[in-house]
Amino acid sequence: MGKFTIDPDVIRDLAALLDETNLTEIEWEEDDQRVRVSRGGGGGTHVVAVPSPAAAVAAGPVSDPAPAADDPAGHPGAVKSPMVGTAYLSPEPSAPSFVSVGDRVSLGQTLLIVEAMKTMNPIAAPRAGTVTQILIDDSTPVEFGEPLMIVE
Amino acid sequence: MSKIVADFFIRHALDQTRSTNDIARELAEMGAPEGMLVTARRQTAGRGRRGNAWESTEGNVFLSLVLRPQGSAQVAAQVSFVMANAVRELVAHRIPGVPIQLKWPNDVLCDGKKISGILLEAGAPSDGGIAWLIAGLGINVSTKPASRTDATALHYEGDTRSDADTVIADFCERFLSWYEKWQLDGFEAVRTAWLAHAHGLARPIQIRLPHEIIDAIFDGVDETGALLARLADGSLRKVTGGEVYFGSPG
Repeated sequence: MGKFTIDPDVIRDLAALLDETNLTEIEWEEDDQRVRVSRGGGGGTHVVAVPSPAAAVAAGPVSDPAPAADDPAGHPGAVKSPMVGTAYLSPEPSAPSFVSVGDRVSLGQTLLIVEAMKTMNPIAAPRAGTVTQILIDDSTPVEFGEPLMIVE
Repeated sequence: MSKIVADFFIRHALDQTRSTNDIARELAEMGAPEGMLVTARRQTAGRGRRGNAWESTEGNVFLSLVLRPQGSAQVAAQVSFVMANAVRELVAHRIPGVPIQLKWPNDVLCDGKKISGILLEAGAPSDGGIAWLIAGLGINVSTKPASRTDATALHYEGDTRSDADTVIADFCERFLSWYEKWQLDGFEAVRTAWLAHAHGLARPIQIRLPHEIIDAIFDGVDETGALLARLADGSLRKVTGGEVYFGSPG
């Protein structure tokens, strides 16, 4: 089993996200490490940190860990919404989309817009890479922390 | 103009440009400080949200302000209400006697007719916060779009003395006052003042989202700025987008 170091900031962020989204469980995987934060029956949150993926079975009181590929929120390439709002895939209705699946994008390139209270928020690529999934439809409501696209 | 106001704003006055928001955005990306104010006498490609055109005839106000508010993108969206309060005050001061009301989140209505338009565009969030926020504003001073019966201008409402420059100066004073109040005291004072002039509270409302229409009672605005829609089954739904229409005029 490899050495596992806990990053308290990651856990704090995940716990905050859990509260914001009312989810019961969030899993974050990076390199060979995986952290899962879930809400216990008592209402509080607890953290399970396990080296991934072999030891996941022994991780404790969580059930049915889904493979990362089926869980966009836990995907390390997920680009998530910073706010509750409406997502737009193009700058205006008649214009082509900012990006399509398969496009190479550079760091900071606009991927989509999330609008809230008539404020337009461009969502930038957090890294250079390829857009492998677009997880939302144009002009649809999105929640805080909701995965919007996968950039790998 | 008071010294505090004069110190906050740096005005970049243009005769003609495509869109003051575009210029302000370029300046923001080059590092322009908060308070950079771009104005133009005419815009050749003035726009509202989602590519809607904004008619930009000389004599009206076209301005864009660079802001750098602290906090998350969600919180920065409250500047919509800060802007609306400032413009409502300005308009009410100039045409006393005309009922001035607000339509969620930032339309200013004179006796039900639209007199201004606001377009807010944030810089791409990096860490959940925002790099900058451009607050674009058009106010109809001397002319209104001829084709629109639901629009008006200050001159049409009885104020024939105001010109674009005096309205810009007045806006700067009122905006800064509301912006500082928001930054120091938070959203509550902004929200309370906004609600005091909200059009159609507790009345039927229709919210048209891109793929959905919600019929509800307008129940107010929550502590984040979301519209509260009371549905037929009594439940409350929070709405952050869409266009608002009122059940019956007036």
